[in-house]
Formats: sequence, C-alpha cells, structure tokens
Amino acid sequence: MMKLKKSTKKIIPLLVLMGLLVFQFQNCAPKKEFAFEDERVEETMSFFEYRYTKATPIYFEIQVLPTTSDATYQNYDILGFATPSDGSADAIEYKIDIYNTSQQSICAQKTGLLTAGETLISESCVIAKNVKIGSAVIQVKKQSGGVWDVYTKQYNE
Amino acid sequence: MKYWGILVLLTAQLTMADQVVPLFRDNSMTTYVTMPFRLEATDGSAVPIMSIEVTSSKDNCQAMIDPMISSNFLVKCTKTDSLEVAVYFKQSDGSIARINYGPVVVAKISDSETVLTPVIDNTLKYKAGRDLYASQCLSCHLSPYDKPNRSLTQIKSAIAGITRMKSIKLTDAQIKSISDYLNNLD
Repeated sequence: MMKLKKSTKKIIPLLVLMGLLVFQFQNCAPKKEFAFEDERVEETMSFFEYRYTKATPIYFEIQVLPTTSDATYQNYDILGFATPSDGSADAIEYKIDIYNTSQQSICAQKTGLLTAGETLISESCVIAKNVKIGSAVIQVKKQSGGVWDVYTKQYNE
Repeated sequence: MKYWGILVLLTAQLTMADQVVPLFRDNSMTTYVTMPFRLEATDGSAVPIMSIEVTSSKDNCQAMIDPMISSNFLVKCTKTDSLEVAVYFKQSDGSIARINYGPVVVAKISDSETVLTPVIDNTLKYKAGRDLYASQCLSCHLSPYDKPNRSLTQIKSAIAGITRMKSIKLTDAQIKSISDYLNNLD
C-alpha cells in the first residue's frame, strides 16, 4: 500500500475543512434576480383569501366541494383546515355551519376537535338540489381557551 | 488535532440550520387551499423571513409572507405541482441566507378539482384598510368619504408633512391597504 508523505497527511484535515465550508455555503450560489414576493402581498390578498387584521393564533379555512348527485340531492364534501400559527400542537375545537342564501341552516352543524398534529377536517353534507348554498361558516378556537375565530365564506351556488 | 475543534464547531453550526415547517399536516398540501408555513430554528423559535420566491412553476402556485407574522408564509396553488420555494432570511451576523423548501407534491383537492367559488365581498376584501382607517384616521377625518380616492403617495406625504399626522406610524403595506379601502368605498 502506498505510503503518504508526512506533508500530505497534514493537508487532509485542511481539505476536509474546506469541503465542509463549501457544503455550508452551497445555498450562497448566485441568486436569480430578486423577485420579492412580498411586494405583491396586496395584489394577492384576495387570491389568498387573507382576512387577518392582526397576528392570528390559528390559520383556518373552509372549502365546499360538490361531489355526486342524483335527481333530488347534491352531495358536498366540506373540508376544513386549522392549525396553530406558532407551530405548536395545541388541540383546536371547530364548528362548521352551512346556510342557504336566506341565512337558514341547511346542514346539521359539524363540531369536533382536532387533536395535536391534526389539521384536516373532513365532513359531508347532502342538500336538496333546488337549494342554493349562501355561506359556509367555520369557527375555531384552541381547546386551552380563547374566543371563537370566525370565517364566513359567501357563495351563491 | 488542532483542526478537530474547528470541525466540531462547524458541525454544530450545520445542525443549527433553520428549517421550513408546513403547518398543515395530514396530507393537506392540496390545490385551492391557502397553506401556511413557518420558518424556525431547530430550537423551535421563529425566524423572520425577508423574502420568498416560488422557484417551481409560478403559473401554478403563488406565495406571500404573512403580513402579520413575519416568520410565516402562505402558499396557494390552483394546479397540482411539485412545489419549490426559496426563503430568504437574515442570519444573526446580518448576512442574508437562503433556504430551499421542496420539492413537495401539491395534490388535487378532489378528483374533479371542483370547489365552490366564493363571492368576493368588498367589505371583507378591504377590511384591513377599513380597520386601520378606523383606528388611525377616523378621530380627525370623521368619515372616509371626506378623503376618497387617496393614493399611497398622497397619504405618505400627508403623514410626513402634516404636523398632527407625524405621530402616525404605519408601514407602506398598511398605508396601501388604507388607500385601497379609500379607493373602493361603496
């Protein structure tokens, strides 16, 4: 086996050190032209349906998805999403209501608890085909306390 | 041996790297959903974000920093994608660093990808500006209709130039939201 000279041996830790330095700064490669996405914040507020006026303790939203139907009824999946904004795993209580355009409840209120780490609410609702959904309302609060935060999504479907 | 100390220090610094944490779990990375993310150090503390950039297809996904929580950002995709985001933040030594998130799969929200489209409600859309106007301006200006259609520049000039308004501390984004509100009075 080939023997390394003493001077060559000395340089090995230096090479390892340089290798680590290169590895550490790999993200410092030439950047693309800066496109500060935050400059577009205001333009995209409605796209993101951003409605918080202060630091929200919980991010949450609701989506209503029409699925199967027959001559009389339309089925909907109701998806809710909620998570603490500080990355904690606090449990979150939720309530979901669906109303028609006259603000009458057209689906039994869905209530439940997202335990630590859960963020997805999956519910369903069957509504007569001739009834239009006027709004979907999701309310959330941490199980540990606080007030209910409300988000109302207006529809005309 | 003298290099081992440096090696240990470097390794420690590498393991202290910041990370992007998706706040929606449960496979909630889906289209049409505004997905929140948080930049945090390994000890869980929040790291303020300077800028973000969607490095995958910008046609499919958009991103923005949460204007109220500087360590969080939001991503929304209208099409399935392999999402990649570059996040820029300031390190403790003042230098700017970049961390990449992804690629991660953003799945269809449903097989048909049909969601009910909400009606845009202007009272909600401009709520931030309306609330700011109420808290910062209303005590003197009484009604927003007294100052309709003011631009961001006009409001900034007023804050800078009018003695009684100099105590108002608002960011450009907040002034713009007031301007948007004043330009969209019903």
